[in-house]
Amino acid sequence: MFKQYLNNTKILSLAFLRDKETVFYVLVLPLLFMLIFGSLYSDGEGRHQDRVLLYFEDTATISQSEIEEVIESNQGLSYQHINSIEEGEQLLRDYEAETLLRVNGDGLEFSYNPARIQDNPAIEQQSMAIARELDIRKYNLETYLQTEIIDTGDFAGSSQFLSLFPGLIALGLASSGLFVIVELFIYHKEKGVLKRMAASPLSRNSFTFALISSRMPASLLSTALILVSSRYIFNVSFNINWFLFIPYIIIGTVIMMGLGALITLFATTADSGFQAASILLTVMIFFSGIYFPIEFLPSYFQQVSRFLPLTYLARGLQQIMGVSQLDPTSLAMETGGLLILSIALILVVSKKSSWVAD
Amino acid sequence: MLAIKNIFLKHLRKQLRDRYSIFWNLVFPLVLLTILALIFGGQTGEDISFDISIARPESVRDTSEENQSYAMIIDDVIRSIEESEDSRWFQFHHQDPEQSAEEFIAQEEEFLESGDRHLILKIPEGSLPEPDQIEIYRQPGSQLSNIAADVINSIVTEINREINIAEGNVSREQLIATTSRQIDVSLSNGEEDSFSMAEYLVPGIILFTFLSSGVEVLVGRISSMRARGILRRYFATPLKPIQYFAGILAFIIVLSIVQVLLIHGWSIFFFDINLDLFNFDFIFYMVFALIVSVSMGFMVLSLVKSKESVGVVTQALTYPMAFLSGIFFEVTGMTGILGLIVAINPMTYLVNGMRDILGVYPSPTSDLLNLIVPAIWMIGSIAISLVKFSWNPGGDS
Amino acid sequence: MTASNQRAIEINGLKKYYGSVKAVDGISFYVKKGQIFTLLGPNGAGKTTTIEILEGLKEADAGQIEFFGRKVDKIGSQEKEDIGVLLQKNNYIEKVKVKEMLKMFSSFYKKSLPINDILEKIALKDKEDAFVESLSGGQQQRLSIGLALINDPKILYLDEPTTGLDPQARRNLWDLIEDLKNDGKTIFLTTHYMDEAEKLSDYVYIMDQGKIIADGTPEELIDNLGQENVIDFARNGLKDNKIAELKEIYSKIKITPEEISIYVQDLSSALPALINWAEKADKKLDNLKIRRPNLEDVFIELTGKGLRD
Repeated sequence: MFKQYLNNTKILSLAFLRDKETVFYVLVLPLLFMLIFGSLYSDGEGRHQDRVLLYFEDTATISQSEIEEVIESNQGLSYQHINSIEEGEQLLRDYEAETLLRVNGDGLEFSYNPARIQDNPAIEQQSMAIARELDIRKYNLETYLQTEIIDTGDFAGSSQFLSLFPGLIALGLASSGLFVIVELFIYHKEKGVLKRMAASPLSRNSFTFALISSRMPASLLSTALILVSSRYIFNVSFNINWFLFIPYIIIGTVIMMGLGALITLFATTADSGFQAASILLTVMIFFSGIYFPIEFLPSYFQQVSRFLPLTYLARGLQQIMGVSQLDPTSLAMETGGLLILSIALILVVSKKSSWVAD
Repeated sequence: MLAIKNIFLKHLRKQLRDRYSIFWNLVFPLVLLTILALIFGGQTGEDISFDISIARPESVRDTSEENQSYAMIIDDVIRSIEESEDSRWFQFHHQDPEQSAEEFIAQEEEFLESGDRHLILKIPEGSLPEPDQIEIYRQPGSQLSNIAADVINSIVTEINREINIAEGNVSREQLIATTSRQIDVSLSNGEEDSFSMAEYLVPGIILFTFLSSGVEVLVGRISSMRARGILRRYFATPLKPIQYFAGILAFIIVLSIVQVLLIHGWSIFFFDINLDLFNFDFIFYMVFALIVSVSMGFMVLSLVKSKESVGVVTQALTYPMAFLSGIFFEVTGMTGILGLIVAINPMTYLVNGMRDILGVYPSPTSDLLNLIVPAIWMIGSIAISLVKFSWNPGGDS
Repeated sequence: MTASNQRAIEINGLKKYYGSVKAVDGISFYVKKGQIFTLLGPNGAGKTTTIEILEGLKEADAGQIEFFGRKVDKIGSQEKEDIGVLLQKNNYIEKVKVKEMLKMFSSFYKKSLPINDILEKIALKDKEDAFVESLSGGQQQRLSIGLALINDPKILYLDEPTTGLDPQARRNLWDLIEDLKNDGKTIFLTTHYMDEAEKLSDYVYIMDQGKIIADGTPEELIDNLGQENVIDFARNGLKDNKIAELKEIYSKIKITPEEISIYVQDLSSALPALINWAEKADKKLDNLKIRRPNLEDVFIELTGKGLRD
């Protein structure tokens, strides 16, 4: 019995990994997303400094050298002199600089490109820092109240970036697990594959189990690829709790299969089942908060993420990978609940489906 | 002519019957537009408020009459915020009188992790004129927390200025006046006073639907019929390949027109923006974009014969082209291999050109490049297709 | 009468209804061990339903089944250990190699034959590392037979085994089937090809509309027709009035749009009469053939319609 299971799992795993679509969606796509969104969100070492364009009107009373000094003392800034406001504005439009500083009399005017909605708040902070620093130097002002920022969690720095990686691993698990139940109980049934096997004494549950297990190597491979690539491309490393991590990969895949089982209950043909799964996958990508921050969506949109398994998987992985604080109770409850629900759904579908189409 | 019409109708009917086709080709672009406009467009306004916990010291040092404690100053600031119209942005949470600052912070940190609080401030014990420190506890994973921290930082800067003025270190007039403004990015009549993310996205979404139609839909349909031998059977009849091509192209054009109309209608309805999509220049540019996409679709069909691989190759082409083009978010900062892809990607230039023509955003790339680079792709794809395309791979072409 | 210990399977009063449709309407037959039995009939006769009940894929609504001497309610896992099956449509999981597929199926059974032996038997040794979907039609059919043999079954069910194959592949498959019979296997075959039924069968059951309407060896069935010869010629648009004339001369005639077949006992009188008529009717006798009756003719006699109608 066990040998049968192992043998079949091996053959089915190989079949899965040989499929070009598997290779793309499970292995390549997460990496592609990693490159794109990783570059987008990493504002650590990779990014350039914010460029300040300097334009001094004739009436300027603040000294040029003073401003240059202040800017240079800030690691995150660099400056460039320009000859006209128009030139400066054009550079801003072309995304070649972050802010244009016009010194007029003893006033500073900062100009920004309104299209850079995400970047502007940080750029504004830098600008305010310049003004503050100038004031302090000129009048020898006191900084009575200093601020010290304390970041919670183990990692300081932008965690939209860091939480991307657990999110990508979750995406790999989703691609690996979401389609298999539709494949087994609808696609293979439609094609008559199951019928042939029904003519043998094969235990159906044993085969289902083998098919489910056959997805795990792909999940693990996808995870390994993401971890290795993130180390080499973005130089990030994680404080992974390995004892929880490997089981979680497997559990996560099963949870995604549960979602696939839910689809199977409602889909009538393999084609519509696969399509529904693709749509669900896309919805999860947009609404889980992994690749796009959902905090700015209206609250009714944000509520959608509560119903998406991907959200919980990504959160769980974040904790296990040390990106956010490990909360064993909520992790166990969320994951455990989803796992039980998924297994139940798979069992229901399994019992309900006949291998022989009427 | 009749043959072309029949082919066209056949594809149209297939599109209309298939619920999922309708979703992906007609509904999804609208959903995408809406979500991205909301996400990248910044705050929506009503829903945003910052939950800030204030932790006070149990005792305040040196409370003599003349010297104000920082705790009192900050209390004043908070009170004035709460009484002003800015109060809707902030929700302050205070500790119980019996709680110590440390206990309160420990309690609030849990809320900070879960997102129920955006910031915790620990007010120092000190008083003027000795400098002291406010601790700001931030959750770096949360956009709102980061923004709240920036806002508090600005407020503290202002407080410092006011204290300096009050202490007589400087007079208000002496301080450097700082103003800020947004540059004008619209090209049309200066009516547009504010930048609209939705306007910025519309040309991109239109281009994205063209990319999908021209590459995915076209390739999907033809390749599936090719693989099933249906095309071979067609061409055993007097139907000429060129007629088939014309029929399917007519379908793609009609599909694209419907998509543009839907996007336009939706942007009027949901975002209240009315872009001039029907001016001649823009229509020309849209047709150009569609031709570029279709020719790339044929190139894929020419180079990839197996039905199994064609779907994957299409996705492998479409995803980078869509994401690394500036359609969804700005990509000029990309370096390395990604930067290279952005630079050779015809979609980059097409979307820049489209935005420029509509007056939504001036193109960071020159008008000439916006025509030449996509044209190179178009010509190259057509050339490859002419040489290698076969309606019937494995048989006579 | 065959002693019951020589019977592989026996069914009595088997019924399967789908609503008002009587797919299998009370049939009884048995299959002798070590022989090839054929269930012959047109599409829709109920052959596939019958064989699927015997394969354990469907359950009968009524009737008794005896499996190698054991009375069973239905064919279950225990019986399936001894059954080999070739379905009408055979599809397999993609991206699996031939060798792997055999291994997979062999794992389904308690006992199985060595994979290499099977590969030799079905002549696919050189294709063992090929993906199943890359095989030609004939090769896939051979693989399907290989999978049916993997558990060294006592009885093989072959449902329309040569449908859709080219003539060469058909002949190869017939050779293989006869080979298997020589190995001592019991084979139960369904087909709508009468040449296949005639060539391979030791015994034939003819089925139509859910019932068995005749049975016997091919020779017995043909002999029962009572006619020794058949004369065929092209119809060439012959009008009904002319056909009426022919009907007066001969008692047994089959008319199709393309062909006319006349069943006669004695050629020496029948043939001159035909030529005579043809001259008078000014009709050319194109594609004139004289042959022995076959199972198709038997079927037509029994039902009034052809096997391929």
